[in-house]
Amino acid sequence: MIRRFPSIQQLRLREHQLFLALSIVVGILGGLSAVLFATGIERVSRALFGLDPSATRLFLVPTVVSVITGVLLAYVFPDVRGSGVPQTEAAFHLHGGRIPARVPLGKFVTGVLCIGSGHSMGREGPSVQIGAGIASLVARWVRLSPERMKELVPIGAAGALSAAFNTPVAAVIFALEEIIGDMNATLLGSTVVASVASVIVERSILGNEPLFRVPTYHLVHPAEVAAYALLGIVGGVASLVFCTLLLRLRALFARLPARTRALQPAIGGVLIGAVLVLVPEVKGVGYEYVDLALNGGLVLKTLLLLFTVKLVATVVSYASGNAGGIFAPSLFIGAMVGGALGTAVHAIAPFPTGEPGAYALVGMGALFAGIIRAPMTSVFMIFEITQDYQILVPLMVANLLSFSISRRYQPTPVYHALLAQDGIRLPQAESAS
Amino acid sequence: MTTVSRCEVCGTALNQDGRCPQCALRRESQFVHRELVVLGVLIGIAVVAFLATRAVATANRRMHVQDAQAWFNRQQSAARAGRLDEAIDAARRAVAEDPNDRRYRLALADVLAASARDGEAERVLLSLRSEAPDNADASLRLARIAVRRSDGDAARRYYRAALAAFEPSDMPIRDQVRLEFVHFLLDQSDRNRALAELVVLSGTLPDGSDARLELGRLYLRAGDAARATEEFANVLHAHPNHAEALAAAGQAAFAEGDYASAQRYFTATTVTSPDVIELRNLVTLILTNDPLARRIGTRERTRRLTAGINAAVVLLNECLTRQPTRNDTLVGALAAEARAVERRWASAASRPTLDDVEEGMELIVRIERTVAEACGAPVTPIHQALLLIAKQHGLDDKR
Repeated sequence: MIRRFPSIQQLRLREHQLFLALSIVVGILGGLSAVLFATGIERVSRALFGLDPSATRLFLVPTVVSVITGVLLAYVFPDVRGSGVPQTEAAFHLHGGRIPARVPLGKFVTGVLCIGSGHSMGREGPSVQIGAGIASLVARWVRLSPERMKELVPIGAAGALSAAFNTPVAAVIFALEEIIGDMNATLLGSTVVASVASVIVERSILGNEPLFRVPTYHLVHPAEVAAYALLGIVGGVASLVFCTLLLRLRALFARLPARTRALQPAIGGVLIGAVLVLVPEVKGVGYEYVDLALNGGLVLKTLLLLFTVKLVATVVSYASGNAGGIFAPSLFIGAMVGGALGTAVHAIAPFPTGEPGAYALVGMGALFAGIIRAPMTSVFMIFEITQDYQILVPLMVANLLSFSISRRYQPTPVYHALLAQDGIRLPQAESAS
Repeated sequence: MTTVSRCEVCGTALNQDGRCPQCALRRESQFVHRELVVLGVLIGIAVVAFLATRAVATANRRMHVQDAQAWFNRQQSAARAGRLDEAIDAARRAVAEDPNDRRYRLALADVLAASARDGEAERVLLSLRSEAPDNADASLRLARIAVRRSDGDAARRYYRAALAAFEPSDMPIRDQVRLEFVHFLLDQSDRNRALAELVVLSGTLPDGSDARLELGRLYLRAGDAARATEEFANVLHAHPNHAEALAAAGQAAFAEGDYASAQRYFTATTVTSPDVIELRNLVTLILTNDPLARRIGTRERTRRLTAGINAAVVLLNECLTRQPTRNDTLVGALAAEARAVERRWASAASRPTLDDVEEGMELIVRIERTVAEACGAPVTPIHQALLLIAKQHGLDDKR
């Protein structure tokens, strides 16, 4: 006689209820992973560089660590080079959301080492891949259907990004705009849930401190719109320069013999070490200098220097195959070019203008829109960082121009171009932008 | 007879589509059981991960706090040694390590201000103030920057904000800030507002303290000699031989026209600053040349009157010598009147009444004023003394 279980029917979770529950769990795990990743980078950096590193240390740390990470990236974790965002997109669009377990682990380890040792790269892109990898792992463990497993990946990515930037809305927009490539996605609800869960967890650990302490900026004079439009044009050009250099240098490294693959990150490490001796400000993520630019604490010469050196350093770090993203460097470069233009405008404009910090803020958004090609994400991210409506109009103007110029002269977005260099072609995704 | 198909596993009759309902139910229940278990395990993992991450983040935060303190110490030593650029860099690093500790941002603002980078200092302070509008330290520093920038309205606003923000336990600091505010108001010639603040201070400063001395000086500067005298008396009550207080009390008495008291104070003090000596000499001249003083004999009264008129006539003649074209009717009449008065009182037997003396003093005032208009005000002490004597007795009204 077989036992009947009538009560189990009543207790059975419908698939979408289970998916919702998993979205929350994945959001929380993604958020925790982002917090742990950022904390790990800081601890490693402090341990390697100390409080006030000497020139020797600034040179040796990235050089030596890159030798280690080169071996790891070549032989142990070959899928975790670079940002992680294009790989996440590839997993979503081409591999049914399947991300091997070693990917989030490898990304975590190599990302902490690369960025912590001074490479000029961001932590948000790796966080996206780690969060997506955790989501994929959870989906396989729960034995979700292939469709559901694929859908859980951008949810995990959004959760991680939400915690990394402390910008839950921007994270949702990014997942829809960039990873899924469809602003009308049916995953909106689950993505929001994951993002909210993630940011709640992140704020309960780190507090509700903003990423940047930004004064309230606003449009001082209607004619300033022209100045911000100019910033958008400059931002578009800078985005093109960055993307072009990145793709070309990466292609150059790719043409090197396969046996040098383990050494390529170390070549990048040596170059970065040399740069850090001269301009240590471009070490790692560099958010403290972004904060300075946003508060008008840098002079024109410094802004231009940091813009140039950070651009070059990021290109070198990324192209040589180290693990890290380009979100943070985009913001850094944007803040510097915006601040520089703002300083010049403030000095010579015949009409009243805002502080250079306002231009740095808009510059961040413009470069983000031009490089990442996520203009909606850029607008929401800047808004969430500043919690101020008044800068939105100039931000949108600059974003639009930067995005348009970047797209006009480089139709393929940088993430897709990076994948194309690796022989991966993503299906064309309709963008709501 | 129909054949009923049965399940090979459990023997239950198969349903119409050939499936065993009991086996399907079992598989389903296993699946449901499994997904609940997996979900429960995931939640457990999330909880453990949360606790572990929080522990790591807490340790990381402690590291940042320690690093911030280390940079702050470097900033302090660099600032003391005058290495301002190094101090600014260290202060910025302290702020970057621990942005929640307001001491570091205040220190950064201080060192920026010391480097004449008021604009940047102001931005740091405004950022701090936007997060904590009741931060007295930020408001005070903004007030000082506004003073340097000669922005009176902003300075007033920030001083008031700072004064309103201090806690009751910070009374001594608030008093110091209020004194600073009064100095600013007096520099702006805002005497009324300054007096209002001084009255508040009178109620809060400890008796007998040097702060009372400063308070008295500020009253004097604001034109309230009576209150100034009260404050100096307060200090002298506790410290009767306080040299500075005695000198200041003499100045207050002088301002009130109480020259006798002023002389007593100036005699008692050991302060020998040029302004005290000048005032003491002037007081002596006043007291020894006042023809309307009490308890002096007729001869002495006459001597003082004629000496005063003589000094005024000498001044008039000097003016006429320098500007002969000024020998107009008024001047001529004054000179003639003065000569007549001199002749009248030149006799040893003459006994001027008080009315005569007052008339004589009025003549002196008219001469002094006419000379001042024609040849510029005289700066010699005797003439200052004569005018002050006339003023003291209400004889300096213009006719």
